Amino acid sequence: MEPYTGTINSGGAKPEIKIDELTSERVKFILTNTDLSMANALRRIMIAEVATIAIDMVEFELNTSVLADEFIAHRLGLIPLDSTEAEKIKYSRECSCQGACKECSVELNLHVKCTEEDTTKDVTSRDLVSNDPRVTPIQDGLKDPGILIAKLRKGQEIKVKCIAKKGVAKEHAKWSPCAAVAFEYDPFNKLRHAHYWIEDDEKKEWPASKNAEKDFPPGDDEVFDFTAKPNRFYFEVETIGSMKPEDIVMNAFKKLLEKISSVQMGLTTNDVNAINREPPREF
Amino acid sequence: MNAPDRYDLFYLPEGAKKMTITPDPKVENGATFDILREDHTMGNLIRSKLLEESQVTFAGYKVPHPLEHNVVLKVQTTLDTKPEMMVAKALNDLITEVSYLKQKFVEELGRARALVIPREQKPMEEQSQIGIPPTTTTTITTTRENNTHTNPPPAGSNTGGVAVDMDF
Ligand SMILES: [Zn+2]
Repeated sequence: MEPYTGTINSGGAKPEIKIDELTSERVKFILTNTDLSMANALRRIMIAEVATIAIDMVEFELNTSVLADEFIAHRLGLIPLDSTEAEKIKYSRECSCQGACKECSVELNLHVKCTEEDTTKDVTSRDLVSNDPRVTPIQDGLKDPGILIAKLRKGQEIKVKCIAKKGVAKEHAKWSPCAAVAFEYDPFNKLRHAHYWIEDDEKKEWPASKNAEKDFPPGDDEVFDFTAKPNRFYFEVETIGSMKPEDIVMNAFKKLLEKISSVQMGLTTNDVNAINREPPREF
Repeated sequence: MNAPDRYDLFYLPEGAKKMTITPDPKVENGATFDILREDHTMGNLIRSKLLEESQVTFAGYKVPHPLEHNVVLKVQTTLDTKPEMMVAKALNDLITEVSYLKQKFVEELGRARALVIPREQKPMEEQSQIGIPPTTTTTITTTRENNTHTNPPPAGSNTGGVAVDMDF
């Protein structure tokens, strides 16, 4: 890979990332030698700006269940859909079509009727039939019962057409790929950013977090360094299932680059000569 | 009825300028940058990058109103440079840093997927179902006991075994 040519922080070290754990639902990593603002930008983007696909419009043909249309529509919106291919789908506001087409949306149909006496029939995410094999409700193997949407009694029926669209969680939280992003720095509180309420013994009342095992404990008579800045950040990203956890992080990096570039474009398209450069006014 | 579009908070309106630069009328080498459709994510990032520069004497940002999705950045520099030059440098440095971190993460993924960190593995019969493609969570097939990659990647996937997605 190319040698690092960017700015080196006050500690004189390059930024680093180390993955500590990678499973199908979470990734734990440590981000070092970078600024708190960088770590926080990454966290904010993972939560709110990584694009996924979710049901955004529901047309009710029939609903004789006890639940209101809006209630069911809301529940449908929150079902995680496989968003691994979200990048290949357009935002519908950027699409040339009117409303929805194959390029910018996925249609999912649901038609369930309870016909049996004295039983309740569960309507779950497994009953949703997608017209795009890439975008289906997520499922953890055959034994996964699916996500419950509604319950039907004999004679009750739900028939809906759902339009799933690409979006980001800034618009609606249903588009967030993250169940949780844990973010911690300075587990020993050496920087005094946390102010603990102490009754008798700080160490007893405020035990260090798990991340303390990977951090450097303060010496017994260590003096408070008021110039110190946080530079070691512990992340744990948990997916809701619509995306692999490592893809969330990768897409967040990509999105961050896009955002910086768009601001950069905004700066360069400013014709510097056209900027009104008046001499400072005298007062 | 008169609610703004939901995407108004990140989608730049047609014809609007992403950034406008206004030189400060009182302070020499001071300028205000109005950045449209950005929030604390970019505001704080640019501000702290600017403050790493010795030529920057002041850098601060605010989000003036919670319902207007804009950021205002104020910068003052020493006389040997200009605020817009320092902002340009800060943005450049940010791109370098993020690209570097992104590449580092890809490398780490290769390491993590290959050997060190095991992915849980599901029995074969749970992996695919008629009508529904196998869940993507099972494409990585390294186990602690057995480091060989037994399952072929599902069709249309290029993520089998140790390979790292280079399309990142
Ligand atoms: Zn379309």
